[in-house]
Amino acid sequence: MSSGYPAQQPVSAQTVLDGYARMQAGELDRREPASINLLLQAGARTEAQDALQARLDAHPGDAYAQAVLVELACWDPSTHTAGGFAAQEWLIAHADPALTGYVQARADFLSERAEHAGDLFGAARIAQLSPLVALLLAGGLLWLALRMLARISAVRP
Amino acid sequence: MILFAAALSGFAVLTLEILGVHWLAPWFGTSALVWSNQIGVVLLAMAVGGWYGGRSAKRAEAPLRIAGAALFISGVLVALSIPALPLLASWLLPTELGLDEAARLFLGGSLGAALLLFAPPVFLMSMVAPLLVEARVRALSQASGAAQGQAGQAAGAIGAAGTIGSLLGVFASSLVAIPLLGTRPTLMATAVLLAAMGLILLRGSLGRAAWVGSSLVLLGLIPAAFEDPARRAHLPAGAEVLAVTETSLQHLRVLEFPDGQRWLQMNEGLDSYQSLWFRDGRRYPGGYYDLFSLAPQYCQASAQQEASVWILGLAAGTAMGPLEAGFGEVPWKATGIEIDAGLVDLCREWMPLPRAWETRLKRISGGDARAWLRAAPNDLDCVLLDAYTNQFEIPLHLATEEFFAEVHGRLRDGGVLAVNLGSSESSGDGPGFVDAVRAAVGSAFGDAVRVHQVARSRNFVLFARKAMPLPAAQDLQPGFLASAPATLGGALLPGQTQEGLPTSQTVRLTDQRNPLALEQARVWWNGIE
Repeated sequence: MSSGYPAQQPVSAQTVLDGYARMQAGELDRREPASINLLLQAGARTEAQDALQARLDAHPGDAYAQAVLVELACWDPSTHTAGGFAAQEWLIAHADPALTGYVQARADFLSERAEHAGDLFGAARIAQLSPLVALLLAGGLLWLALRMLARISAVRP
Repeated sequence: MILFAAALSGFAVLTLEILGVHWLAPWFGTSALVWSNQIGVVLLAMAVGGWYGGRSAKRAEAPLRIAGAALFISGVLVALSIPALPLLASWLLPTELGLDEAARLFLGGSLGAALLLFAPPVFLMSMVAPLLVEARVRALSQASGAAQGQAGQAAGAIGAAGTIGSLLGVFASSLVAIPLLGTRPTLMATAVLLAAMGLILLRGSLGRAAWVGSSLVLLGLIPAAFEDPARRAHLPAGAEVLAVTETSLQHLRVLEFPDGQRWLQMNEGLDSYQSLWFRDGRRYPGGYYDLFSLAPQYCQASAQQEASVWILGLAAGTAMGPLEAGFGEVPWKATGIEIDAGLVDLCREWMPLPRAWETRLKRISGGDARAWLRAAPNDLDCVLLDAYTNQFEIPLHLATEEFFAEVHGRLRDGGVLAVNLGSSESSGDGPGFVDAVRAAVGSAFGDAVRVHQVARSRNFVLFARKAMPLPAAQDLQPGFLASAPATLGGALLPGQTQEGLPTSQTVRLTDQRNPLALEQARVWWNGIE
């Protein structure tokens, strides 16, 4: 999940730095989609988050800002759960046809990750318990081996 | 024969201990914690087996037969472990996990696998020594008619034979058996030797049916030793295996994806790789590699003089592309250190560098990066540290204050160190691995330290400059920035950049005391919780 919104044109590091400098100088409004898109393309999570927050401060409940926040949540596994809830909330609260597909794709991704996290939790529990289970199984195996050993090594009359 | 049996059991225990880790490596890695698990399990099994063997010896009518049976059964168990591990590993580590997720399972998984697969045979092998001592004492007493002094003599001789066997096991397994035979065939050969010695000591007391049955089991297991289940272990979606090899250090494979991209994997599977390769020889392969192009820019190399770079942890040489981009018109040459000579051969064949980059590069393989660095000139422009072991750990001796002081000593004034730091920490974890390395680097470089987070990842690339401040983003060459990818620009923005030394207290990483392994265990454990 790395694509931004709207559709991206490839840009260089120089474009990102120039764009950011213009945002800092107030020549470019960082709250506008073009600025936010540039930051998304650059993978500049912190700056993108700040810009989205500024946009939300100016326009509380803004559908675009909330949609892009869902995208940012996709970037870091530690924010997947919160992102999943935000995506569902967005889909219930908004009916913007231009953004629904964008958010739905991310909601699907996050829901897949949530399912995966459940599997991971199960696997982690198995891995945590495996030394104990393995110890018991190893004990059983040894018991069998020692019984075999006694039979094999028995002195025949 | 008794001394030979003692030597064989010593040989087999050490072989199993060392090869066991190599055998587990494609699934669980070979981190310090995996090694600790393996050594701990083997020592525990040796202790309990030795005690039980002594107890059995005391009341045994025929201690040699018991020793023979123990060796025979241990051989069968070792042979059985060969097909059993892939099954066990796939249960403990589901294939669809990412590396940072799977890493949390390595600790418990490797301990479970070691307990189940290696503890029983080592227990049985360790029973053998006291039984052999008892048999030898009885034989010596019968021969001389006196018991006095026989126990010490017998224990000494058998202890010495066992130790020599262990010595052979250590060197033969890692220096001869793995490179020539491979892990599984060596384990199988050890199993066959154990079983054969067991049969000799049993001297016909095994019934014919049991003898034939167990021989058939062993023969049936031999083909498993020549299959490589790790070849396709945890294969990423869409990938094809191009080449697999096993060196004395690790299990290696080269994968190719439908878009032509190739990955080098070391003791790993899942979504992790140690080198990337593209057919078109692109300068920016993506991810953290792209940030290595900043090292030549930060060191502000002069176009009048050939710049010199040392890459510690060369692997396939993926860093050469970003360096080429970063140096631009500046002439430069590189020396790449790679500890694994087998890896260099594999990469030359399957991940060849473009000719222009190859001519700049001198490869040194087969030695440790820190040891080789001492032979480096002391006017280097850049040192890149991308040495990883066990999938995601920087070797401990390459992450200490003393090591970074040595790097500092090899750089010219204005020279730059760049370090790839893979971290599974979340931002909320507080000061941890990255800050600890940052502080260790700072102990040598002062506050001329900068860390850039790699876009959409948990990797960081740390830069430090000798005797001069690091240039600001606006001081980098516009031509370089105009052709660099957007994500590199993003990494240069303040939100992805940490300047100077960490502000909070971190653990100190020194040669004397390096708690990185514990830090990693903490992150894993937090991950499970």
